Amino acid sequence: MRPRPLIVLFACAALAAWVSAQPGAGPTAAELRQMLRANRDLYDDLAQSALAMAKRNTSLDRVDECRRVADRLAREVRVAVDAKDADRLAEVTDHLHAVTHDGLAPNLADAHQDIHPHSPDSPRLREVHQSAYDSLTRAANTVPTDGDLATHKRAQAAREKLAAAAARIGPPPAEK
Amino acid sequence: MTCDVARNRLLALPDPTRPTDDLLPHLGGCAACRAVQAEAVRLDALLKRLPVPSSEARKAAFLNALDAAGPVIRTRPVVPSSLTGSGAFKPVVSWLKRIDWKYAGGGVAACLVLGIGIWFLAPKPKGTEPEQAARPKSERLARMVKRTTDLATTAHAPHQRVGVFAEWTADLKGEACDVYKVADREDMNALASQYEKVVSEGVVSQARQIEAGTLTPGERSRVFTDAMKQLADAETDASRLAGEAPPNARDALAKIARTAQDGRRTLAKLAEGKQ
Repeated sequence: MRPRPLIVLFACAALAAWVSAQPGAGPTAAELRQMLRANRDLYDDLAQSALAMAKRNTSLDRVDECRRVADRLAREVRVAVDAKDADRLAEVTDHLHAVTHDGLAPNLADAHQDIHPHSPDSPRLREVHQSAYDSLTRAANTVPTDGDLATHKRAQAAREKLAAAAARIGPPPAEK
Repeated sequence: MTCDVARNRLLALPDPTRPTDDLLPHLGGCAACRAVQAEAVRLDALLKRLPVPSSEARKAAFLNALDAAGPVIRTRPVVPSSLTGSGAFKPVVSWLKRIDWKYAGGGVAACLVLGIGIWFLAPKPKGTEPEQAARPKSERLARMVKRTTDLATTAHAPHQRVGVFAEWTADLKGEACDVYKVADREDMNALASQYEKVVSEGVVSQARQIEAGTLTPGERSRVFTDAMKQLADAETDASRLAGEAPPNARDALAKIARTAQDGRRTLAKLAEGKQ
């Protein structure tokens, strides 16, 4: 047998490996415009929250600001569910999960450590904690368990992720 | 015509049942020659029933005769290549040589058809629709969320917040540069307004809060230099694009360039301790 088929075989394999290693093409201009349309208000609200966050110097204030961000993202979750948009639901769920895991939960832990149960800030901490937990639980319950959207794997994963986010902070500890 | 001539002609005929015209008068008058013709017809029929003898022995004898005459090329010569000549692929090449590619190709095609058939006929898991490829997600939104959590957890000092907000402005500028050709005026103006707010209330405001003595001169210089570089890049990019942008984006890009320039100048004065 001549070596040509072998060379062609190896060349095809190398080409396939190279192609599969290439990063996916970025979004098109039309997709970027669509994303800007979808996110413009969210960009604005996040910028407001970030500027406000930079002025917060206590863990309780930061918890409150994180809760606002979480509430805003939970609103986007509801919008995505209403629109039966599994992709958007997955995207905003990821962000809500990140805010809960990386912002809300650590600051809540700090706040519960810093604020004594009998201090004047304790009721506010409980209130903010309960509100954040309720918001996350509601967001998780918003994702339907039956119907068109429920059949999407991404929607199922989003529901599980939101439930995990709510479980991450849990309800406020019982008053002593 | 004599009997000998007539019989020789009869034996030479391809079909003794059909004698030629010149034989017919002799056969008509000679009973002995008609008997010879009948015998030839019978022998011909018997010959047709005999099995055809194998030619293998003759072929072998022929090849032996050729061998005796000199070397015979039995296989096609293979020109050594870097692949086959190296010896590394000899087992593979030898295995490939033994394959009958006609059958192998047929086998692969059959497997393919079978596989596709099974895939189509196999019961699909109920309860989930086949997933389509996900739409692209906004990486900028993801970065903004990340920066918000950074501000909530790690970037508590003003000099850290300057860095976070400077990157935020770079993202907004990047967004404006990506979409200026397709976005409408309202979208572009909204981006320019956000840019202005983050520069003035974020970068510059936090830079003002950096207290003297909290950083070494080198650290302080780096904080200001990095932020000013982000703003200078924005100024350059937005100015350049404003000149070629469609009318709906021109004002917004010009505003971003002006904001970046003002912010950079203010930071430069703060870095020198003049404000």
